[in-house]
Amino acid sequence: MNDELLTRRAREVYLESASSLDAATRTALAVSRRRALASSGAGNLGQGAWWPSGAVAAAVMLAAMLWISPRPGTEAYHASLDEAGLSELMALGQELGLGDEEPELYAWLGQP
Amino acid sequence: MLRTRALEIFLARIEARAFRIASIALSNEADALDAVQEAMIKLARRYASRPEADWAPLFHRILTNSIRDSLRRRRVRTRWLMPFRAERAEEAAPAWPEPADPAGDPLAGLEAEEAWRILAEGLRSLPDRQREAFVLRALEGFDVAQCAQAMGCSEGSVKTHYFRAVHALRGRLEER
Repeated sequence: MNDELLTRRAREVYLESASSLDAATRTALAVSRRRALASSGAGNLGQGAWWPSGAVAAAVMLAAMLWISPRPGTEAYHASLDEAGLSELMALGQELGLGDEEPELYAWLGQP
Repeated sequence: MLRTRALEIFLARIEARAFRIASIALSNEADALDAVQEAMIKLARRYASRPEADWAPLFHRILTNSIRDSLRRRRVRTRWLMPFRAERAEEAAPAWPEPADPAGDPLAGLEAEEAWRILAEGLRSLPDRQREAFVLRALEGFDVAQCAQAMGCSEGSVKTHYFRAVHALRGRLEER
């Protein structure tokens, strides 16, 4: 029996024995594997995979906000400013007790 | 997530072979399962971030250490707690079976489990470092550099241990 034959046969026997483990042992090994993966923390391994998706989500939200918000010089921009300004004036007027007296004036001020 | 999946595939691929390797050294299925589980957990906890090509040598290095720890604990137990039982177990060790084909391959013509038992007995008779070199080089198919990484020694030592292991094992099997 030469060395090459010995090592080849040994490897064949080894691989065959590993593939023919009984069901109980295979189950125990699978449980051990799951424990190992759980102990590694899907957390620890997954952190690197999570942060890019978080960054992408933040970028998408920022882009959406920029897209939706009115731009200076547009009617919507003025309308939003006027609505905000009108609300402030109404609040101020109510504080001063003027809200009931001149509502049309404040409505007029709010028009573009 | 991809890395977790890659690690799971790696462990699933290697676990049965690791169990057989641990069984050779420990001669006890429960201890072998413990050693494999310990090695899997340590690899997953400490080295999962390393390149995948490093996992196999690292895993075998951890497994080897787990096996050594287990043997050390057993020796202490045997020496201090169960001296008489250990002696009886050694006396009751099964004899090697008659060869199926005395003229050629000693493992030829045997049932898989029987062939494995004979090979495992032969490997068990080797010194630890020779057995490790043979398992990694011949059974796992590692190259010399990977063996050196797994065994924590020089490539020259791997070659020496492997050479001696092959000749000792061949002699052991041909004695049958």
